[in-house]
Amino acid sequence: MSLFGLFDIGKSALFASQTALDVTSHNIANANTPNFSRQEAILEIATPVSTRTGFLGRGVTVSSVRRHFDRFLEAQLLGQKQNFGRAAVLEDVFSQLEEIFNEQNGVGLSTKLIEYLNAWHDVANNPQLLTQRTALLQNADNLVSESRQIENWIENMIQSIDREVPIIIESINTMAVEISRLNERIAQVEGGSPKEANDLRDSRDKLLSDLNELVNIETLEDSSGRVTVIVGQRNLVSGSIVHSIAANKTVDGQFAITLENTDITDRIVNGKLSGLLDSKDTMTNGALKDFRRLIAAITNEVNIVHSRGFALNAQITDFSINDITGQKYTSTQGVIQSATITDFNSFSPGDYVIQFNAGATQYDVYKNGQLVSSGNTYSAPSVLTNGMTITFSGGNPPQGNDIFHVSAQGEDFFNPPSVYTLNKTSSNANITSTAIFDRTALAYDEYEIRFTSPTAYDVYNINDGTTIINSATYSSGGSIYFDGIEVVITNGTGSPQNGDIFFVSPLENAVENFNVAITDSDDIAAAKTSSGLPGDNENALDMIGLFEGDISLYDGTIIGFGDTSYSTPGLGNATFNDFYNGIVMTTGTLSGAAKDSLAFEETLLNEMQFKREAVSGVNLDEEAINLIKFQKAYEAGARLISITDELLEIVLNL
Amino acid sequence: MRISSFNIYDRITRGFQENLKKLFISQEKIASGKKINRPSDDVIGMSKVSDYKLHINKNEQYRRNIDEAIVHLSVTESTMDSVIDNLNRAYELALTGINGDENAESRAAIAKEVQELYDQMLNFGNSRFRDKYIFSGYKTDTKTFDNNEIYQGDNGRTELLIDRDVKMAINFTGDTAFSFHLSEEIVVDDSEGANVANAVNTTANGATFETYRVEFIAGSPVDYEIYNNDTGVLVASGTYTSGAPISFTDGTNNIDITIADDLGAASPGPKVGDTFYIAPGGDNLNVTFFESLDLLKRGLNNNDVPVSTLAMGTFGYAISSANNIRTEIGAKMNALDSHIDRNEDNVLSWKSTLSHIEDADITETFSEFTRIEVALQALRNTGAKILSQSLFDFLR
Repeated sequence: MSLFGLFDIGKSALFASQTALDVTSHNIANANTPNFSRQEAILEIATPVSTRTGFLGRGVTVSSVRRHFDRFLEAQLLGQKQNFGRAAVLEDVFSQLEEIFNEQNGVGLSTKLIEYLNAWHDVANNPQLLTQRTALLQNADNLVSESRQIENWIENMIQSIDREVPIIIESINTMAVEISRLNERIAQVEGGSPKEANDLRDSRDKLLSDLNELVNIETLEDSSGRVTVIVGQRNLVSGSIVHSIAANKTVDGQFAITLENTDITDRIVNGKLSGLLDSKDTMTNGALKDFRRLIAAITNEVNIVHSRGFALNAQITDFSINDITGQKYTSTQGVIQSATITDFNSFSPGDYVIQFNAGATQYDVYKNGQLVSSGNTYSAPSVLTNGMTITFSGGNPPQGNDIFHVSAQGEDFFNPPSVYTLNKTSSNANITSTAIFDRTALAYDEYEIRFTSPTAYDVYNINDGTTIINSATYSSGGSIYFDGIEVVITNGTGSPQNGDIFFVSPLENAVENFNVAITDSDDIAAAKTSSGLPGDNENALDMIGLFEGDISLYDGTIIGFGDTSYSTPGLGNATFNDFYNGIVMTTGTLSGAAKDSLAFEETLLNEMQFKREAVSGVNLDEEAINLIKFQKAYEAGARLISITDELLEIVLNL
Repeated sequence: MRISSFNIYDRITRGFQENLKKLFISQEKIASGKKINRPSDDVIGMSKVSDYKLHINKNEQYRRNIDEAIVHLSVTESTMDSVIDNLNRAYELALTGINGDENAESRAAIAKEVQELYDQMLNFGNSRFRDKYIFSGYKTDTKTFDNNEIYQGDNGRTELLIDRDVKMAINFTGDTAFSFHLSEEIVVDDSEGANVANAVNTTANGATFETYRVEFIAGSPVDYEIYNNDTGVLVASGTYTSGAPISFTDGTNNIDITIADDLGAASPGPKVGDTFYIAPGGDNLNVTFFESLDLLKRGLNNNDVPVSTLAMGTFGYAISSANNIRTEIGAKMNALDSHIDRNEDNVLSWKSTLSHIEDADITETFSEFTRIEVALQALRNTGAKILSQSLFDFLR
């Protein structure tokens, strides 16, 4: 053992302390760097040498620089980031949605609805006065513009989601590229050795953590340190290969997320992206659709009541009589040739059903679902009822048990709702015309006409999930009737194919088309009889009854006769105000739940972050102690060399 | 547990955030005065708030409808008061007119005043309020009575909604408010041994108010002649059969008159020279106030005391009919008053419940605010101490 060995020990001490100081400085420098894991120089006893006196220590070596990192905590944290990302988006969207319906701030439809109703009260109080009528039109305009404003707000929110989704997709792709690059560098640096590329791994962990906030991912690490990032069972990053994720809009405006040519939309279940997709879905199929349903119901039902009344200046030409027997009663053999108003004074508009007895000698008359006269003797070729003369065709006279439906209508208050259609998948056939033939049967639902073969289709009610027409035979250009709606599908380049779907909705344009049809306040129909003008206020009272839920527009029970089944119209048993309040409460519940869930996920995330930082975070006091510790060790190492030098001097001076 | 510097900063930052958030919410409550500021603050509470607000709003409209009904009924009421005054005055004039001290000249003078009452009555009948004829039924744009005093309106009764499911008719049609039902005959008996048992107008549709003079002229059994007082036309004549009713037709009217013997008289039965003045009654006979006034006017102008007496008899019916309308209005007004009471009680109780649900308890909110403020202050103090400590400060 020579004196020179002391130099080696001193050198190892100096080197080790310096490395430790390096690591400490790095820690201090990164004290506030997110996702940085504090590092520690691991000191080891250098391999001793064997001498005659036994083993002699040979100083210290730095075996590795280890980062303090808890894989289990990290994995939990990543999962929690997904939950947090989703909850944050939902809270953001739903609290905005709630503000659109926040009655407490004086916005929302409730006030406008009640003001419109109150204006009808005032008209009922003084049906002949111009001021009250003008006020009613003004209130109707207010109702219309507030409704459009609300739809506009919801649509704007949906549009901002539509803009946000591609940005998130872009971020995911950018991050994927960076992760793949880091994968390569980590593999190069580590080269299969157990030494970890600490800082590169911290950077990659940071990217994975951010990616987790955007979308639910799974990661696998291979033996050379590369991670595979999986989204919806498809590889986003596989080593150095990146597959781009894409978001495309389908014909009906929904997003389809694809990765590796596979639609993974249904597998996006967490993170910001799922929050955006889900909140869009909730708004489109929840608040927006419900709101449109409400407006469609108001439009249609106010029209039904209004068109059963008489305006101040009512004339015979203001009324029309439509024969809708063919659309409703397929077993009826007789044909109505003409239906006209022959006695205006006793004419009373409404929906009339005329039912003949078994011998076709007598008939009953129903008005708006109520039996108004029964056992009338039929004298061919005409039926005279309520001021109308309905003449039957000589060639096709009424047969036993025939049922006829004529609808006598005056002017509408609002522009009537229209039917929106969308060819979802068919490349051969098209919807060529639509109509609402019986507005009292309108159910405010949405439908799909689904072809099961080139000659057969089902009609499916999207709202209640029932098939209302099963396996009907298709013929090009033939009318399809359901729930008061008539749809005509015509072959284009060919017949529709199995799986072709046509979307039919009386709701889609309800708010867009919502407008007051009346311009002259004299056209407001407050009276129920033409002879009672101008003091008759009974139709105005009916309108109030409609808003109070007191009058039934149509009693669905009498029209069936086992011939065709019709659902009863309306919003269930809810009044307009009830239904609207339902929407408000739903948005409140959504927002409340989103707030609670965000608070919960945030607390959990903070707790996990806290634990992670407890393990991996830098404590400056600790580093200060380390600084002193290694400084002193360095000083002592230097002293050792100096003493060894003195010892050598002594030896040399012998 | 190991604590990193991040842990310390993070905890303090978060502490500030939490407390500031609470402070913000508390301040919002103070600023709006409400504890429910959006549906999600309390969904159940919010649904009650909407419900109560709807109820209050609707009731305020019902209250406006009640006020409207009261205004209409008040106008009708004051008109009917004037109508009753008019009829009472007419009765007094009739009483004066049939007095034996009067002569043709003074009766003609009284008739002039009756003419004024008549014109006044026509004005009452054609009363207008807010540009509508209040007695015309639904036909509020049509003058109630034309120049021949024929009713031009219909039988429409405008109903106002004064509460949920409670409708009240607020108008009276001219054909009921300005007429009475003459169910029994009125007779002026100028005979010794007989009286009129009954005189009935049996016409179901289109019965008109007429008065007749039955004169027993000659012979035995005695012959009679019947004249329409208005036209002076002889409408029937014949020989009287004791106990048998005298039936005749005049225009649309089918009249049956039954003469009874006065059993207490010295010689019962109608005699030559006996005269009866009769206004027959009938189940379907309505007499307008104008017809009554016109009859009186003609009676006085013609110096015809019996006819004036018949006219005077009709005013009793007229006054009682007008009084009935007046009473009905009073009853409606009372009903409206009690509706107002209930309406106001309801609104008041809803408002107080509403306030209870949605309004913030200001004292409570302020003390909450102060509590958070104190917590925030404590956090600032301790935060400042913890954040300012570092070992580096002691390393020189």
